[in-house]
Amino acid sequence: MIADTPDAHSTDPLLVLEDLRLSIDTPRGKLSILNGVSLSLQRGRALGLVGESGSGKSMTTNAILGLLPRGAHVDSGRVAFAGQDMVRLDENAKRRLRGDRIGTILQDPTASLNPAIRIGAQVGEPLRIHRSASSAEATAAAVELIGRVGISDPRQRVRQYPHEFSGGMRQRVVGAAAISCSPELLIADEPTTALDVTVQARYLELLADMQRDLGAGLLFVSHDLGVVSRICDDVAVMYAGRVVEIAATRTLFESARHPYTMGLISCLPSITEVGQRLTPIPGNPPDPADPPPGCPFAPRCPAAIDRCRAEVPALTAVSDGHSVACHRAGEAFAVEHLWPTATVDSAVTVTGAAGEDRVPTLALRGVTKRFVTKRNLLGGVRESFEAVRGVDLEVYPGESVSIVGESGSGKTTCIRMALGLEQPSTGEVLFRGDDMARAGRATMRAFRRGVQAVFQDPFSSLNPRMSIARAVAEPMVELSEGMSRADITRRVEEVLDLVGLEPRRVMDVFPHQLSGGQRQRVAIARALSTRPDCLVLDEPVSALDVSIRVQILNLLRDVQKETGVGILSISHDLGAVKYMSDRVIVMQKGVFVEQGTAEEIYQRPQHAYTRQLLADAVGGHRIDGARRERAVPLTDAARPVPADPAGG
Amino acid sequence: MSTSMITAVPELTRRVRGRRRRNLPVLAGLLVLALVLFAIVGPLLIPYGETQGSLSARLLPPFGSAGGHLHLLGTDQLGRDTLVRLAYGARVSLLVGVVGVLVACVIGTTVGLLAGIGKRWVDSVLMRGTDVALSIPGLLVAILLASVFRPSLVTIFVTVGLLLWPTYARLIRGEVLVLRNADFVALARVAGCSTRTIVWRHLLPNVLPSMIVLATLQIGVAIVLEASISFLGVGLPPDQASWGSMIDQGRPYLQSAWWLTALPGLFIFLAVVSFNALGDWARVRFDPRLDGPR
Repeated sequence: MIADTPDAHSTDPLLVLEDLRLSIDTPRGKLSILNGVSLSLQRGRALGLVGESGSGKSMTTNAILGLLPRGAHVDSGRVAFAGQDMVRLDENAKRRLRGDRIGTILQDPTASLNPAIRIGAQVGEPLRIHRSASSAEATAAAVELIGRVGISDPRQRVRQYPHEFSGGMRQRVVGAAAISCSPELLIADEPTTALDVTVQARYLELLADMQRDLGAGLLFVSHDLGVVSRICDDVAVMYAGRVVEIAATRTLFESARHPYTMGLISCLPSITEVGQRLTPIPGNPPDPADPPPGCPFAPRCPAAIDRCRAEVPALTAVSDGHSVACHRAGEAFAVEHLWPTATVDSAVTVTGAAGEDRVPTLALRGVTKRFVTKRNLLGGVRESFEAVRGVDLEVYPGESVSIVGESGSGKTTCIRMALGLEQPSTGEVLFRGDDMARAGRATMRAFRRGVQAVFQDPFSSLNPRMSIARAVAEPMVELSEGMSRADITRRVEEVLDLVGLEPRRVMDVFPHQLSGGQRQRVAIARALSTRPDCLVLDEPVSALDVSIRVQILNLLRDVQKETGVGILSISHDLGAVKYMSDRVIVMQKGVFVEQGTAEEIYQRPQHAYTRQLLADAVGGHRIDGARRERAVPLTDAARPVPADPAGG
Repeated sequence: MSTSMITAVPELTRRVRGRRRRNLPVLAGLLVLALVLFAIVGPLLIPYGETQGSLSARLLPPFGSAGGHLHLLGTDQLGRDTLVRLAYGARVSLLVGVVGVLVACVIGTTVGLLAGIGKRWVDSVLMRGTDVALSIPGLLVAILLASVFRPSLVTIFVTVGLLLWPTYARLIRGEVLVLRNADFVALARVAGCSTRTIVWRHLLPNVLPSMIVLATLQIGVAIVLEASISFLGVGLPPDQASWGSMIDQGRPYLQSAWWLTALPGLFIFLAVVSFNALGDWARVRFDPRLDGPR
């Protein structure tokens, strides 16, 4: 048998998962988290593991590392790393592998580094543990490693502490520690999720370089199909504890067979296409305590037939290297057939052509915000920092304006001032032409009624001790005089209905009983309850799963069309911004560097920073499977760390 | 996002433990009830007075009798019946435990809330004040108060309250500092809530669990504190019984008459354990996050 397939000749795969099943014991009984996960990864290849929260992708990496949370255990199946069975290996043997032959990079670079230990010691730690390196040797190696991950001046930097590094730099340090022992397998669990767009792009390049230099296998876990497609050779899509499709990246994007994969791909907001309404995947992932009897995706699947609801499909090969777990995989649906895209009826017509006689609902005039960063002994200002410098902004009725920028650009401070949560140091905030700093009680109440907000984190934006009905009613209780209890209840039902929740089912429920997407709907309902003229949105979808994101984006568009509410939003997601804005403002270091209609900004960006943002964002969205196209040479991502006392 | 599966685990194990201990709060509740009943009706049913003793019946062991009078739990060095003194002592100790902690809780929570939501200078002033309060020796305060005011139950409540509030202030301030940055507090402002509404509706309910836990732990501290105050002679007069003072007075007889110290000790132990169990139950019971299926 001569090697006619490439695999037949190569050595054993580096990592093999065979029908891995894992469950967690809970008071409600055993919850099946992984229901037969099979994967394999060769040396020198990069495999992306994509799935939404709860799909089991993180638990899969935990199982590979042998780091299962309490109560979780492997029921059956095999995890073989370089021929060793990780499930049956004793703790000491596993410990010898971790950090040595398996390097790990986790999502949050802040949590991955010990704030009390110098960078050099942390990067050199694996060498001291696994290679018995002396302190001096470890430090010398750390200097070299830190230089290798693109941090300038490594000799000085190893002596510093994590807080002296920016988020992106910290993640580079984590990467340096992960490759210190030249691992054969590199596991990266959402390594770029916490990073800004431009930093993310640089980091992905670094990751690809590290993997190539080491000749290691890379297992890249992410919820973002776009990011994965940028650096992975193959992609495995997980849903409800199963791999539902696995294929070469290009194949997956060009001819996905599983309806879920197709849905995910059509959910990616594009920054190039216009006028298309995104198609959300309806519903929510199944509850692991109560899985559907057949295919786990059947309840949400537009192509489900009776067989899908009765029988779990097995992962079967449809072509070389392409396997799908779907009963109807052989029928090769077209994406448009399953997830039809509607053309947008040029949604909101009141574009910001700023008719001179119209008064903006909300306006910032020459607004600057200074934060004190250091005080002297007597409390006087010794050092301050301007988060926002002299910006002008108007939101006209019915218009949707977005501010785009990275963390630290001052966009959050901008909207906090627009909401009256922060007072500008100079300049004024106007509501229908009235200066809010001099507003009387009545004007202030009108302002509160007229400008409502939705924040990023649906888990933090609802009081855990208030029922949904009370939470939604709160703005009306506080601001709308003359509404009877019955009026309020009726309005609560109305807005819950408007955001697609069933009032009867959610009104008496507490936030913890709802999913992230449902909570965000509640937050939107609450914001709409006083019939505001303007909604202020702080990254309204970035904390949500991909398929849920589109549901919420569509909801916001529909609400805007139905109620004519104006929208001021901030985001770092250029795709989402394009999808929902008439006017886009690009913000950098406290100033607006460019603004214009969405089309102008995306088609003909003028400012260098805007072009950079757009170039880096492409990979995060629908692409054509082109891999590792380097737009910008790998450079030191060292940017000044902006002091950010506002907390981002 | 993907970590939600993992973070769900401690919550689940907490619920498992809660379920396994479902009978414990019932037991604890019954015990507290029994102690309260004992305090109320005990003195009425037992045919001895609190201070009535005879030297011929001194230091009788449990079930001992003198002159045809049976002393179920024995007598002390003055021939006073231990059982009846335990009942009278329960009145004092339970009252001091509950009321003293309540006073501390109110003072401490108020200070902590004000420091947490107030301006920087308010916070500094209040917290330095708390530090000062913590650094003054407690018994000194007790002596001072007792020498100014007539020793009475009220003096003891105030003293216990004054000694225990700083812990609350520190705890509540810390929690409020975290909570006030939560998005739902900012959104409450956007919804037009006044600072007072935010405190009552959004902050207090969310610090309640820690408050309850601390309170139940401090009930025991308060009971013991009363004993040392009474020992210094600035609390209640020595012939008036409390569990703490009983232990104290029985101390010289530790080797010859164990029941004088062991029995009030047992009562303090039972009271503290039951209050703690009740507090734990209440914390879980009134936390909407910890009940019902997800």
